[in-house]
Amino acid sequence: MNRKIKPIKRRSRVRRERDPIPWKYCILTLVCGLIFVAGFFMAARLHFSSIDFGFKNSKLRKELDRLDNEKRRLVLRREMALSSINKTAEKIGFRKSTAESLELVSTRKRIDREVITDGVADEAKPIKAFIQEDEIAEERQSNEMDKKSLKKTVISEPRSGKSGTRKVQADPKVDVGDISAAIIAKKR
Amino acid sequence: MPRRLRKTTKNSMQTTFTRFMFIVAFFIFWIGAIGVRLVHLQVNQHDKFRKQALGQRRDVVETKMLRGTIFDRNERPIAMSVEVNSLYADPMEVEDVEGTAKKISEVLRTNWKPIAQRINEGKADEKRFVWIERKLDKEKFDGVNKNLHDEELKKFSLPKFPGLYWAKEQKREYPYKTMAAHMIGFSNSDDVGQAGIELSQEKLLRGDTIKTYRERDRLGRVYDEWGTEEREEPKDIVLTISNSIQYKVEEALAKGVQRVGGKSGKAIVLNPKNGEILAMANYPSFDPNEYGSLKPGSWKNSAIQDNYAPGSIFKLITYGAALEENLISPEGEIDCGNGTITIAKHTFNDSHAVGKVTYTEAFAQSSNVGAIKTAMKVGEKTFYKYARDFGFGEKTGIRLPAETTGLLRSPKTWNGDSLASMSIGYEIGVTALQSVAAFATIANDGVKIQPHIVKEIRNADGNVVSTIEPKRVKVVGKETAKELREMLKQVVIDGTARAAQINGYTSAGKTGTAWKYDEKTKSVDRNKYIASFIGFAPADDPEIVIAVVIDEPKGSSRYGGQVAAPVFREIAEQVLPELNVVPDGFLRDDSQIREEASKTKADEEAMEKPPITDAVDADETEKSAEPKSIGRSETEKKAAPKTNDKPAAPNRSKSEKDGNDPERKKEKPSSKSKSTEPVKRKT
Repeated sequence: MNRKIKPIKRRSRVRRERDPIPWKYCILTLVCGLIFVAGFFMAARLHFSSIDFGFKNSKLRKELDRLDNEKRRLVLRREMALSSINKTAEKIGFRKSTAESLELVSTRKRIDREVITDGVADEAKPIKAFIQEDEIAEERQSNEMDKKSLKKTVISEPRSGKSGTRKVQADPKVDVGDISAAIIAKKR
Repeated sequence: MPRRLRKTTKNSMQTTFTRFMFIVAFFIFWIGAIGVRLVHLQVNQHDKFRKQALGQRRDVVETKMLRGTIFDRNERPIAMSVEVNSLYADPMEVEDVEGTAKKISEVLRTNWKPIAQRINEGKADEKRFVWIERKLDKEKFDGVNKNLHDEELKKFSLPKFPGLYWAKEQKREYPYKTMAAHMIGFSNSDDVGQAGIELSQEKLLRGDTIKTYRERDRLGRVYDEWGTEEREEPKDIVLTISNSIQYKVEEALAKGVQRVGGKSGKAIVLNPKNGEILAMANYPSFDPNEYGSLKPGSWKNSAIQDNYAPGSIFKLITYGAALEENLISPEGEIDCGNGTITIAKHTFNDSHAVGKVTYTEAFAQSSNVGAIKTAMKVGEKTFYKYARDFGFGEKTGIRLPAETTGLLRSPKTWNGDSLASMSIGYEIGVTALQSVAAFATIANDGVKIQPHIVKEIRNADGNVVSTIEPKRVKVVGKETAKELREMLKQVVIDGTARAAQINGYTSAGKTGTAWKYDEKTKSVDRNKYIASFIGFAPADDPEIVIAVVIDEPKGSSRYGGQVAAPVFREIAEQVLPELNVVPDGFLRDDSQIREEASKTKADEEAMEKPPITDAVDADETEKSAEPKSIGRSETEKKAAPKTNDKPAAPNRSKSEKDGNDPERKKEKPSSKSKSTEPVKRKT
């Protein structure tokens, strides 16, 4: 009754055909995957760096506002300090300019201004107004200037060792800013 | 068996398939449900959740742009706003009220009880916002933050103390305090201009409120910020005034007013060539930083808001009109007689008889008779036309608030003696600015230039948005202006204003002294004067015109030549060198000038008495010379300006009223002549 079942013979010849591994597709997939993942990373990085920049930007904006306010505050403080400068100047002996001083200035020869640069470091170069001594004498004679009537301020102390020239007290109308501007123009 | 097996296999596969399908169906259902829910959330409830999400990370900050800055012509800030911090509390969050109040008061150096009371009241009313202290400066701000630091508290904002917060506000600062205060004005705690330039230029200066959106992360750090609405930025305003000149003018004016015990004073310095106002001062002044403690009206700019009777200063218009119409010449002669003239039953006197003199001399001696006779030649309509042309009776158009037009009635409403009164500066109300503009017209060869205070308007970057181009109108010819300048020069050289001689420069000008109008008695008050001097320098090529008006000078010196002219001199001597104007006069010692001034003091007193008197001898003393006022006519009352500085109206004596005035009888025959014919009095 028992039927003899024939054993299955495996034929080595008959083999299921297998597709060769599609390496190029694998590589492509891998590359795509990598690009995809890299994209994610890049997007994440950009996102976080943008937020980071946002923080920095916000801080800078805040700092800018703060500095702007500080600048305004300081400008105001300076103006407040200057508001009493006239009275202080009068207290310490400055006198208001009058027609007399203007007359003297207008009749005087123009004072040549120069900068002493010999042997002085750049940072230490003082701005000074110079005029030849004999010129001064001539002017004084011609204008009969009274020393007391001259209302002048000293810009800086006379420099020793400079023969032939003498520092002249500059007129209060002469602004140091003007002198420096003239010097810059001369240099150019 | 195989059949059974086959059947079993079949069932098993079906079972598996069925199970699989169940699972798939479950997942489909699950995903579908999620999808439906997502659609519901994202489509139907989109707005709600979007709002919630934004609310978690975004906040809106409302800030007010800083008000524009006001600069002087040399770029010095006169009014500037700075950001300050105000401390407020959320009373519901404050647990230790007393402790908090004490810590705050330590820094602010105030009593802690009012602070505690405010917080407690806020708590009781369940308020979430109570101001503690507003507009604190940086030092106090830092002090509060330091004193109210709580390390245990996880609070993002400062101060690190429960229930306390900072709000940013702005504070208007006036660094030069009282200087030019009437002109600059001030703005209130809400940063709204209340007076002066602050008020008139409110639209330009005002900073709008802007909304700034800020996105924060979970720690509260801001990572994005933007504003939505674009608003126009507030503008900066550059004025024509110079800080330095303003200071000098204010100082000289204050000294001048104090010296004569005056009630108040005003001074204006104007460049006649371009109409720029270099200084405008009022005394006494006020500090706009302390506007809260000011009395109402103390910020009134008297130089443009008050009108007054100009007195002899107005003779410039009288002679100017006559010269322009070729009715007189400076060298021509005029008979001022014994110094008395009666017009329409009203007698006008000179303080001393000048007799037959040239028009220049009559002007220099400030003869009322001379001026009245000249005005009669000019006629009502022509006189009125020139007064209008010179700018009286209308606003100058300066960009300051509440400028008055002054008082210049139409000839239709004039009385018989109105022309005579006006020719010597009565029955008319002028402002100091109108007067200085009229003198500037003469200084500028007869071309009137609109006086202005705003030089240019800039945006926040400093770029000029607009500049002011003043109107120019020719009022009199060049020759007439030159002749008038010569006549004005004589006033300073040999007339009533010798105290106005400037060291190193030539000058020209005219004095004026008028009685003040008393509102109570409806007549002029003989004890109250308005002394003024308006002049320019150098006389031949004027660079500045200066007006000085002093209200109610007391003491022996109270005439324009004694009171106002020295102030003019002091101002001019300081301002002209500052403007680098080359001296064109003689240099003298101060003592020399003072000596000359004292010598001429007596002469000036005699020449400069207020002009309208009735039936009084010229030699009488000032006190006895005062006419007995019987008040003003109805027309005059109507025409009277509503300020304290009323133009004085001419008064008639009782004898005149009764028709017993001997002088009037004398004048009667001559009154038939066209020039002095009395005009029918209109009531």
